[in-house]
Amino acid sequence: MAQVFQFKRIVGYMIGFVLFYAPFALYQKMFYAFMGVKEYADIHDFCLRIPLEHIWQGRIFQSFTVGVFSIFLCLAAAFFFGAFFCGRLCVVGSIGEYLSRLLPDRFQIDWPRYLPPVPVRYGILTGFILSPLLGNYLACAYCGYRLVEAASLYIFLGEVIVLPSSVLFTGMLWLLVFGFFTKGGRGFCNYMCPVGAAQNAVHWLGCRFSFPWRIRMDATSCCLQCGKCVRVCPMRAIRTDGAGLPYHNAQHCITCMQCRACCPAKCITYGHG
Amino acid sequence: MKQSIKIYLGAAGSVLLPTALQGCNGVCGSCGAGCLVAAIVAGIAGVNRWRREQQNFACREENHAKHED
Repeated sequence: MAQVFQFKRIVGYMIGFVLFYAPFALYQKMFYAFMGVKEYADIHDFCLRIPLEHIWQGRIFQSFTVGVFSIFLCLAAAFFFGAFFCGRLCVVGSIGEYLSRLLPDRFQIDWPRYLPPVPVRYGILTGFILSPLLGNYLACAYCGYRLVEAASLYIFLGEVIVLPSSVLFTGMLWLLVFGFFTKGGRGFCNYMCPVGAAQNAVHWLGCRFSFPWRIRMDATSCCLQCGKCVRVCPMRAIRTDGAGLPYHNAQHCITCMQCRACCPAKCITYGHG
Repeated sequence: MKQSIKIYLGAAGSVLLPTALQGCNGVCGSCGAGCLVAAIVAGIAGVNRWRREQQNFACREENHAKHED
């Protein structure tokens, strides 16, 4: 059962790769076909920074792009169902996560123990939102998406993309510091990704109401305190309280459902109410 | 000021401050390359320190064993 679940996750990430990254970029191509326009499709069409720039410039509705549509789609989905994009489709996060499984736990750092992810990721998100006001866009230097696309274009088309040297720093953070050497391997998502932070902020708001779906943890009545959910959570969003009971933080949960799949007592469910 | 607010402001500033500096468009990557060099130097220093501590520990163990004899 657990193997089927893991297999489905890998298939989800492969679908995400084919949907968003050139030379495939099927999502963008479908959008352009629907709009009746013919444009080169790559990950930049999906970029959330460009519509953000348009919002600040007051011309969001003048250029209805894939990015604008995706912002609303991602945030609406996150409000009602959680950050599914991160947990099921995002290739950047998945590479770090699967890379971290190659190294034993004892050699890895549990970053959230030393540095709380919530203020860092929402601070970065605030900086990301406000940076267009200052005229420059440092966010591009920290973008893991274009690293994946550069690799994809090299592998499938043999194209070599010239990238700024800051990418070296970003790649090192993403794959090594926050990937290979991090427990769960999602340090980049936890601290640096504004896409995930925006979705989690909206999902956290959704959790104030009863109708959106969310991860629910019935720790007091049926938890065996085995700690499996704490160990498998790639975002380290599940922690234990003083009594050893796990609690779940919706502010950085990506709804990957690994906790639900591994819980032997079936205390963790996904639903509304 | 609460610790979490300080961290929040620091994280927002880490994106905004370099952006605000004139001429920085996140392309040249000198800061990134500088950080990489700093990380490598810190890593080498850390490994050296760890080795020294291991050696000191071994020496202490040896001396301790001698005194016990």
